[in-house]
Amino acid sequence: MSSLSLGLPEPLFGGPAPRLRAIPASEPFLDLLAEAMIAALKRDDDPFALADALVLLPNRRSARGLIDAFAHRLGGAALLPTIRPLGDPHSDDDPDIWGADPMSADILPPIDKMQRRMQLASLIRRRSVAENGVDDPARAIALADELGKLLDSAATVEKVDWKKLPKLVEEIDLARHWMSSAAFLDIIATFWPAHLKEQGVSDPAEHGAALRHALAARWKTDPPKRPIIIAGSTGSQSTTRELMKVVSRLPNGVVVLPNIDVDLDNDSWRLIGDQHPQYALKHTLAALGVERHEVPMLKFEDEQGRARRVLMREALAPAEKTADWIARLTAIGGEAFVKNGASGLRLLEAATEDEEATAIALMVREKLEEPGGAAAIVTPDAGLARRIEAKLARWGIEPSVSHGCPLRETDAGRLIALLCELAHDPAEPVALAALLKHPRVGIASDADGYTILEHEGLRGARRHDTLTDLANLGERDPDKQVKNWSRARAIVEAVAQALAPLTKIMSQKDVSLSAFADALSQCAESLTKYDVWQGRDGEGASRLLRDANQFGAELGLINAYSAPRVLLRLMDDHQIAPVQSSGEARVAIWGLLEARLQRRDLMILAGLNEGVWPTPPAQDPFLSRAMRDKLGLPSQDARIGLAAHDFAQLANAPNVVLTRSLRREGSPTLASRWLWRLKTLVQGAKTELESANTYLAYAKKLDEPAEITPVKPVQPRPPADKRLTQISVTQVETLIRDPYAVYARRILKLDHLDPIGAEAGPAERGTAVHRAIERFGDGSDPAELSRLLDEELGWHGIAPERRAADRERLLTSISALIAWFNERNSSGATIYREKYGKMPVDGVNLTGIADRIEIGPDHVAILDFKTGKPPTDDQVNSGLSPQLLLETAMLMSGSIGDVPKATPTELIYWQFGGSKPAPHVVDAEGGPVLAAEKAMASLRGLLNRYANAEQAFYSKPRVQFLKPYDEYDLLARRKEWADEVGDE
Amino acid sequence: MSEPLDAVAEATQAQGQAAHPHVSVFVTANAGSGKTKVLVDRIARLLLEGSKPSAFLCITYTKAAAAEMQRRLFERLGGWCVADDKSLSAELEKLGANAADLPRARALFAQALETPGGLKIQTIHAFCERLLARFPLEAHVPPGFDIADEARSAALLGDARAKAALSDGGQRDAFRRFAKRLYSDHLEGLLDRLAMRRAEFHRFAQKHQGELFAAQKLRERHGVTQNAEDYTREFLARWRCNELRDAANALCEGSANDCKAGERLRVVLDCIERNDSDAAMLACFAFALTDGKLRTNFVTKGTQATHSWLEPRVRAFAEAAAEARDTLNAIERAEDAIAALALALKLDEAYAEAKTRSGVLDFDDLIEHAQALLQHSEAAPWVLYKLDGGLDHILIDEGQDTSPSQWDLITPLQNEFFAGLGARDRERTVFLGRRSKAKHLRLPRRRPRAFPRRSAKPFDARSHRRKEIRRAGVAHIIPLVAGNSPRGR
Repeated sequence: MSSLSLGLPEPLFGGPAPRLRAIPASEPFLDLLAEAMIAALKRDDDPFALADALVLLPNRRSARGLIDAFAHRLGGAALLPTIRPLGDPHSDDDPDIWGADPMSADILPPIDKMQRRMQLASLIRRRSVAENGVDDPARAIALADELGKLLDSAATVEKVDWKKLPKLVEEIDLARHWMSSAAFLDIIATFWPAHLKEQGVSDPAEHGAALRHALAARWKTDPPKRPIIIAGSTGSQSTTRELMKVVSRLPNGVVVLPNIDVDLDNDSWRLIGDQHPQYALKHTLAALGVERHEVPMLKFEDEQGRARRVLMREALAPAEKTADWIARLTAIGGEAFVKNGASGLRLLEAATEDEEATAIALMVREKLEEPGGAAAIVTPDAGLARRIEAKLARWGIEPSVSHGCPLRETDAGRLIALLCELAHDPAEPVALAALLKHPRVGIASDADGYTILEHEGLRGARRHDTLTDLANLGERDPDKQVKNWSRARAIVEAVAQALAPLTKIMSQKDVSLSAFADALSQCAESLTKYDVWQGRDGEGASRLLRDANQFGAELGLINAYSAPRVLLRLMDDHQIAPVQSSGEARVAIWGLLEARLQRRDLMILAGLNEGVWPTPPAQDPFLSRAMRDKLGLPSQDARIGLAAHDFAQLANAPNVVLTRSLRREGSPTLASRWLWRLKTLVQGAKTELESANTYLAYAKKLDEPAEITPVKPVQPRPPADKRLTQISVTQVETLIRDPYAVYARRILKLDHLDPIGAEAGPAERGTAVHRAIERFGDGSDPAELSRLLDEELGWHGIAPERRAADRERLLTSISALIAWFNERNSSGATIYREKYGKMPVDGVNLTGIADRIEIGPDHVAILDFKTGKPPTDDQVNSGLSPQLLLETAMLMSGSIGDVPKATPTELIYWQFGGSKPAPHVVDAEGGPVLAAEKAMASLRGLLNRYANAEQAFYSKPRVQFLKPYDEYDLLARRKEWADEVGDE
Repeated sequence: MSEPLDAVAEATQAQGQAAHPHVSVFVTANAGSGKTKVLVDRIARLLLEGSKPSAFLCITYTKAAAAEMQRRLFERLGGWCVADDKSLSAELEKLGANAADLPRARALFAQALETPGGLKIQTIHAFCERLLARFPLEAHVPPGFDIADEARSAALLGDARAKAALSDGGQRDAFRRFAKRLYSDHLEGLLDRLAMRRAEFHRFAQKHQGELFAAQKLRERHGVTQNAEDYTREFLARWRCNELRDAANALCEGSANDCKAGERLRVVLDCIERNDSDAAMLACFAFALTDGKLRTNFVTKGTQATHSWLEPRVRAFAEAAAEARDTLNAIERAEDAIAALALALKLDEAYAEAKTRSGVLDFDDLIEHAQALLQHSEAAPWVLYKLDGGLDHILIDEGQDTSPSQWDLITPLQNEFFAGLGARDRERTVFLGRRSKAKHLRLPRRRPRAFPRRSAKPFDARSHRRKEIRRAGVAHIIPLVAGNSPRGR
């Protein structure tokens, strides 16, 4: 007669075998377990009584949780029982406690996981080449990983009958399609076991299972006397079940099950499928030979707890049973019952993940303001977890986090990934800059040297091919040497040297992954002076490279080009766990596994969207569900059932908030299936779930400013002594069109920074063409000019294919220009090229570079080359583009270098590079001299205006003069006011 | 007899027919007329009749549409689950389903939620992605393949462009041809457009057994048989210079206008003498045309009176010159097309290579590989077999936007049903399209099926569409009218 009928909860031990107990879902599992153990075992006369016991829990965190629960109840000095996670006994420091020495068992040592990957991939490659000649190592590794998953899956069940493989598909028409897959899977069916045996090792998944199996056998034949408890597991793996069976029959053994539905009706129990929360327990009970009504409770649940449990149970009922929902609800109490059950359960549906995270952070913060209040957030979504962490950091709250970080996103991982990128192209500007700026890389310790390198070498269009080119970049042009370039050069040379092992290996055709990993390690070490291996991420990276080094050769030789890709693939699944002890004890963010059996005052189940929670099981690329079934492989949907069990258990906490966001990563979401069920059920009872949307309102208010003051258009008015001291002839136009730009450039001295590795644009083309023509000088050979143009365009970062296009297009320009030069040169004039001039105008220095000045017996010409459209006569005469006129004035006053004073008779714009290359003589109103005087007068007026301390430097005041250049628009915050303000 | 009521009743009836699961239909509908409702209704009907939730495939145009459809379906089924008997019966009746089996209707909600592998309501790219992930061995696509996003694709295309411009091959001349005429922006724009449509060029070349024959085909299309040089030479050789010189002289004796014409003619002759055929042609055009069109008069009345032979001779020459201009333009266009083809094919090749080297697939590849998977040695039955219970129904939203390659994907799956096993009257396809855009639809060819006769809306008057659609085995074209959905009101 069980205690159930007596109305008393059962003690932990005692009673006949098989000994099972259950803890109600609403109760905090670990606390209750500790209480029960203390009640059953603790004796005042024997301090070791408790310590004698061995408790096996599902994972490490629950083990720690139990320790905490004991500490809480026993105070300081107490001898605790041995608490272990149900993992692999062979990884334990103290194997004796298991009572079975793993070494004595007749089990072969496991093969390293990386080695398994490589060997499987190698087998696949060989098969691939033999069959159809295609060999892709990355593909082989991907397939090897899938085979690995199959092997791991197979190890969780009793026995998978691989022999059935060839005959798995019976339909004649389809059998032939199956043949190739069957032949492939034969690798793990026959080939792999033989391969392992040859090497005297076992498959890692099977090894773990074998160990547990051996342990169970040992305990069966030689039952330990000490108290042994398996608690909190649902027994989803066959070896665990086996162990549970043994323990439940030990003299002092007991199995404590989490959240088992003892009063579910028989029909429903029968219908439980693999997605149901009780699926695993159903099979476990069957394996243990126990009926569910035979499992007594360690404590009775209270009214509230029962109401919630029944609500969740109904919500997650088997599909067929949902047809009776209304009837069943009415039977258990209808609306009133549901309301009762849902009390303490709240729902929050935010618009985006960001809003969700903010709302959650607010809830947590509120909780923390209660003395002793504690909260836990449970979500499988690592991204959401990070967001929440970030939101909490705003208030200086550091939760204890269990989600790992992908290796690729850590410092060490990023360094390895950068090296893989640079393997293809060591001088790629963006990757190179990232490398030099990496926190652990010490090569660019000369900060000034790096700045020179970045500004002169890496920013703007890419003007180099190799690292050697880059090293020479600053001194390439004899007329344009970069100051202190030697410091930049030193850095580049240091990088080249550090990367030498990598470049060497990439120059080979076929390489081994081991050698590649080794090269990477060497590079990483020389770049960081060994710092790269610091910290957990460094350890992770070190492990990865070490494994790749140790086992990479087994993959076989691979094409050097694909080596980086293969290594990056190996990095994919590496997660770096956070440091365990850090973080605030009162706030925790857990993944599903770590959250098992845990309880805090406030439980927040976050990210309840389909595709996230439950995580959809991976699709098997080889076998359909039916085929897996036939082979005896575990159902893939059983994972959903396990997750459902976790969810149901978590949702039974007295104070729970369910949250989700309506959009995730930019796409609309669907609510999690469990949430659909719950909401529909509640809807059917003509009520609804309590909402936690007030936190959404708080979240919105949090970042709302008290009042919004729109930004006014910029109007800087520097004091008189800080105004313009110098202006170039081309900038005069800018001063008219966009005074703010001149202010930013000349007065604030802010030069626009080009992005690193930008595309070369019209500005670069223009400079290149100018330079080429300058260097061409007095030449007459079109081929020479063509060569110079190509060289300069290349030096200025124009891509090769665009240069190829340019070569064609520029032919007309080249011949036209040379013909024109010949004509002009025969007139006997003196030619001055690229002369710099400076002329003070009312206290401001006017500067300019005249492209070409011809002073002849009967003409004087000033010429400017344009690669784009030259200004129209109107623009010149109106004073908008006064460049040539101002140069005229400068020439007339003899302010241009060593060019003698002269009065221009011709002003020419030479349009080079278009479809109609030709000189265009400017029709200056009243002749060049008069027009120049007018231009100077305008300039004086302009400069005087801007010399006044009251004059503001507006940003693009006249909309119709907006030019495409917008380098200072962001600084002027145009987007915030430009639409509202019209023309001045 | 108020018209609005009739319209609503009509529309409701149309929706009902469209939802009937035994018949393939093409539904044309404008925005707000309840397309999604039709699809959801149809799926609901199918489920009610016993189809498994995993057995249908619904292709939507966007991810948002897929999410919305799934949401509406769950809402509908959830509503049924907890509705009272009376309301549920009424709804089932409205759908035209068996109103007696209420428990079955109620259980659909949870069954749909638990569909193994999830409901297949997705975009065509998602479908292809999932398909390829399930068949890595058959499709020769590695599991966990990388899909290149737009940025990555653009970068790879950039590499391909560089290759096309610089590497050896016929396309280099083609590149030069365009480079001479187009500015950097326009040239890049052209290359971008060629790259975007490279699949079409590829198909064209394949259809005509290779680039050479395709080029010939292009020439044929433009009615071109020679290249520009040969044609020009032949043209100029046709004319007797002394006859033309006589005409020129005669003109120069005439009025001012005649003299102008005569001068022009003289320029032609000079160029011919100099053997400068290009200049000669330009001069011919200058003589014969004004503002691009043939001149109306060549000889003034007076001069004509004096030399009656003048006008016909000169006119004949001018008309021939105008024709020559048209022909030369045609030749130019043909050569442009051929050059574009060469460039596009090279871009295609280079881009494919770049992708293989980087181990990525782009969205077009997804579809191509999926197509290959389904069409290769009748693999469709195997695909369906392995897809956990096969596919019984296909629904396609925004059918008019589905490209030919996407139809090629779905057709083998459809055809499988016709070849199908057993007499069960399965397979129905619904194509949904916007009426305005349906003009250019090219539906796949299929054997028509016998279907139960129902009073259908009359066929659309446009006969060509009727033919195409009937070929697709579609029984009715049902126009959906706005007004039936709440939004329409």
